[in-house]
Amino acid sequence: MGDLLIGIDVGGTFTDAIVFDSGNGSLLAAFKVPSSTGEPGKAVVDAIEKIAQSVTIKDAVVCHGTTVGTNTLIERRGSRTALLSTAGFSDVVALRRQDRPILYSFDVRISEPLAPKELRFDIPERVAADGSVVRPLETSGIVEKLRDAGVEAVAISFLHSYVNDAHERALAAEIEDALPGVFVTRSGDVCPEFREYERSSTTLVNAYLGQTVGKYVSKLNLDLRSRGIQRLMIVKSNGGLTSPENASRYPVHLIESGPAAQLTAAAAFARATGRPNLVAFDMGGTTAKAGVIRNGQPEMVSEFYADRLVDGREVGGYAIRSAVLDLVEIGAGGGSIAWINEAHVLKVGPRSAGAVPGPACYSRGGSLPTVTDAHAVIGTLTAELFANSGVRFNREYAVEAVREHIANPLGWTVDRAAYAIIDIAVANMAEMVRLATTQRGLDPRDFALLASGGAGPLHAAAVGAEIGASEVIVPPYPGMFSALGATLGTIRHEVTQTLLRNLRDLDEADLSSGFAQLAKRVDVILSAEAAGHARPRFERILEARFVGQLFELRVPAGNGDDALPSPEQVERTFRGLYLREHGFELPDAQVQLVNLRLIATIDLGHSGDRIFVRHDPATRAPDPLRMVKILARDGGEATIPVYAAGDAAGGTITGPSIIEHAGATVWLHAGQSARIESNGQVVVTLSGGLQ
Amino acid sequence: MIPQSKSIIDRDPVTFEVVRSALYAICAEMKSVVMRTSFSPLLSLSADLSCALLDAHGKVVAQGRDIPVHLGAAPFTVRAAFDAFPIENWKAGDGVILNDPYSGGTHLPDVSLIMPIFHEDRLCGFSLSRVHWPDVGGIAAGSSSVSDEIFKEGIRIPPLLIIEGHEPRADILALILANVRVPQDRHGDFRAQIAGAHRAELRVRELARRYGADLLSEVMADAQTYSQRIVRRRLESLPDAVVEHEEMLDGDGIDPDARPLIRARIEKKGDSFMVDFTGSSPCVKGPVNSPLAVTASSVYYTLLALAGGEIPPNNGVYEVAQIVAPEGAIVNAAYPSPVVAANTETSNRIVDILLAALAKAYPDRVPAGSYGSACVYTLGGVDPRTSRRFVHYETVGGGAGATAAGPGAGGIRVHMGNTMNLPIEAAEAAMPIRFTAYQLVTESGGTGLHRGGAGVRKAIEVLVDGVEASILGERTLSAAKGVAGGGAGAVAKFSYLGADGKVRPLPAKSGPHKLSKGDQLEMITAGGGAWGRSSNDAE
Repeated sequence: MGDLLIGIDVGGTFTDAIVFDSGNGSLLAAFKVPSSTGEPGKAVVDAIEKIAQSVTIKDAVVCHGTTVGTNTLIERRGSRTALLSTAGFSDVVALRRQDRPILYSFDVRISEPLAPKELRFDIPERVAADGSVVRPLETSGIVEKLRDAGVEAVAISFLHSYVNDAHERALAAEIEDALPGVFVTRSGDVCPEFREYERSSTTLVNAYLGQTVGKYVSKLNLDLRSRGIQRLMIVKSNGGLTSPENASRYPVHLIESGPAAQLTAAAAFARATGRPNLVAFDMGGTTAKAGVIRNGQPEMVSEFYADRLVDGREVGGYAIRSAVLDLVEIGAGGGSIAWINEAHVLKVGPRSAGAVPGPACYSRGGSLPTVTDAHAVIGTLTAELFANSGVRFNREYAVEAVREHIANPLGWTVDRAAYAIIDIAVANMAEMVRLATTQRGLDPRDFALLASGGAGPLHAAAVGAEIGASEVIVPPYPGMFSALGATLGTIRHEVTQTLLRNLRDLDEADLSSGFAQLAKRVDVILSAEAAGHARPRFERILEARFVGQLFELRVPAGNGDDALPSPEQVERTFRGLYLREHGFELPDAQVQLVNLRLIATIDLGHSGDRIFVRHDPATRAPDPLRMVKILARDGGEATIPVYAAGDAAGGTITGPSIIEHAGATVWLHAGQSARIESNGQVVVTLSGGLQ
Repeated sequence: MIPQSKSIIDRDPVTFEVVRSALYAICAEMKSVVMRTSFSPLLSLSADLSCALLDAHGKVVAQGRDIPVHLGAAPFTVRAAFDAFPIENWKAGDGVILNDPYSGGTHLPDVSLIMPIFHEDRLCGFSLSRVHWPDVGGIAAGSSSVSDEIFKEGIRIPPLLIIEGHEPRADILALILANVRVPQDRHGDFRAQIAGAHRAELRVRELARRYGADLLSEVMADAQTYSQRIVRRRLESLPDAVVEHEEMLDGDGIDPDARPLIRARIEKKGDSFMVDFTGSSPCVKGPVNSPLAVTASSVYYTLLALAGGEIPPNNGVYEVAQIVAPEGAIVNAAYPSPVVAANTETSNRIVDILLAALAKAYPDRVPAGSYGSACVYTLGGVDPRTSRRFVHYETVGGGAGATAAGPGAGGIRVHMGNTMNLPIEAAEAAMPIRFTAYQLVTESGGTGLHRGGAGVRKAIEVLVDGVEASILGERTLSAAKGVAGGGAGAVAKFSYLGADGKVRPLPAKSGPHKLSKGDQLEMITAGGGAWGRSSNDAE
């Protein structure tokens, strides 16, 4: 047996663990332990100790998606952080981009800067756009001010530091020397890209999270190593893995760690099963997410806004320039509340009943109808599913909630109201999938829908039909996709450098020296990853646009060992890409290079093929587990079969029916049929719309 | 078609909601296409544009979350375009351009493009983009300066058929581009508008194919009913009131003594809402005169925000507001008055005046006065490093008024506009200018229970000779008022800081100035008013 590869995801209620033999990729264990409130690392250690009871964990690698950074930000529990800016510009993080997040409202709220006014300091210095020094750096007195203010972290962000970061470096060195123990981070290191608000905001978030994430990661690393674990790896927002050292230095890159792991698993599933185009669809208790996998790879964006929704209200959030797997998230989960607006139209969400009181049918005092309650009314969720879960399921509470708040006010029957709630929730999620596809120029009909999360499988067939997906798949371990995805990541680092020049004014030496500098930077980062991995692969990207435009397209510029393309070749490729994206190109306009980007990846050698690819297909006629009565749309009753996926391997099941699958429920509608594969995955073939 | 006894919103509210949401998503997608393909930082980085979908009768059905002054004026744009080109004559691949405030426009820099959307030979509707071109000619770079008639503000484009069979007409385009600064970039911006229209066409056709053109047109009609229903219900829930208020604008940029008055009387009765501007001053010499489309936008915005919450803006809402604005008054500009500052300045002052009136009846629902402006400044000249002409147009945020719920936001765009700033690093890389300050004026918000938002100080040095500069601002004289006993905000202040150390205060609107190397422009925008008396105020 080879060493173990362990994936761990810490959620609000449960911490998931999944254990592989890294030698042959076989799955050894998958289980959940309760999360420990306020101390996420404890559940991780609990899970590791539980694994140690049955197998040896010596030299195991633990891959971990963490929400510590996100939670620290959302709950504002970060460090007392100072921001040092070019004199005259220390309010850039408060002024943001000056637009407001909501239009037709008088009560506009904006996320408060993470460094308050009294901790934002003007530093005399100025660099021009071409990198020349307009005003030399003066640092006298700043260390004393920071010491007197008792700051725990410092962010430095000077204008044009993406061209010349000498001032930032000098000041950072001085502060680090004078104030050991203070977390110091600077924009030229974290995010050397133009646009002062976005760069400063990214740097400030990094500083704000530095101490908390650093302490969590290093303590966990020590705890795990003392138990014989060889190495801890942390999942980044780009789905890649990184060392505890790099995670501590760049916590801003971990904000979407958990969801990114989920998309990584979806991408691995896509590659393993030969379905290049997937929409990963996840639905939990309060939110739903959609992310696109194309050609077996997740889509990536380079900017997002963290914490921009507070109580369902847009407040702007914090700009973060960081490679992030592209996800669309909406407030639609099993706990989303159904309500009627002034125009007498039924709405679902974004308010959620949350964990407390939760859906009415959970008997925890909730009285408002939720999506879960609608399923309870119809009969697609039944008491059997909640056995041993701690939830006292009671359908009557659900019926009452739907009757009182929806059916009676609209003059509808309870069953009509319940179906309408689900229809609206499905419509919301279909809209979300469209945001993730059509808004990015993709046709959802070219995609299969891959459902995960607690409530994902229940709605997947309907959402898939609504968007016209080619098929709907519920993979093995749909409820543990984040933990699974953590083990499937590669070590991945991206470094960028702005080089704002027209392609025609560039020669190959400019490109090669630019990439050489990036290679040096990435080497420093890679040297902080533990040794013993495979050789890194390097991918070069040029971000270019027509002169005058401000949005760039990514032009591939070969791998590390390839010769660099000439500027003429780059221009040709760019024009071709532009034409494909927008349907026209501009022969008279010059092409301008904006950024060089170097991506280094190291494979950990785990593909997930063993669990995703089915073997030795059996053929068995499935027998239903039981029959269940559900309400039909017309108010009548229907009796439909419930199958256990595990018992039906190799068989085909037709709708209407329900399939229970690894703790999740799949609802198959009339006219749909599903194939159950030997590894437990459920593949729904869609034929036309819903009935 | 068999007449339906019940319309789609009641018959099948679920399908209605799905298709209606899709129409709004199409507007957002259309906007993102224009931004990505445009050539002006004002569009790609500051997002000074708006997109809408119209039904087959030319009624506004859906709009993006864009710029209120663009959106509210859309019905006027559409009416002018269809007066010139009757709906029944439109063919697939046609496109009508216009910018003339006296023919459906708002101010000359906002250039509208309307294209029809056909599905299997049936007209399903139209797309409309209104895009702020950073320059449309006129007396000063940036086309946002002070002059005394519309002819000096730039090229006027009445509704013209500029696209036929999906191809731009080279002759008309050449005429327009010959009259603007940096024509190659403006050409790129126009291409971006076409790219946006094509995307909208593609998406609406997909909807028509999927749901049928009949259902689509039903949803388009009911989307308006839906929004109107919500607005009327919300109005009904408010007590009836008749309130009025008047304030003066802070000069017109030409006549140093001009203080035109805007008077508004609002009648809220049941589910109706009427604003009467009778008693407002006649048009003045400078560019603060407001075309009716702009005035109406301010009324629509105020109504929507007063009604509160997420109400999708469209014709259904606009039909609720009745507006009385005597022709030739400053709120209904008469040809050939100059108008360029109304879009950004007068429109925001009108909102503040309407809100001050409403505060007399509903103090808990409306905010205190704001910085009442977009504070537009423009710079233009030739960059000696590249020998290329440059034009810079930017707005500056200021203080928002506080509300019963909390303090006003600082350094933010209020009410009728919402364009972003231009990153300093982008501006300095593109033009021979250097910013010397961009900060909040901390103490400028009015004091009270909830403090007004802070104004902004932004200062710019020019690095070459011969730079043309103009400022269009407000509230240098009249401070933003508080509500419910809250204090007023600090006033705005604009200055020319000469390289030789001379300081010259500037009025609210001025230009074009000629700046030389080392000269600076400094803009300090006003703070917002406070809401409520602060607890330590003596009773």
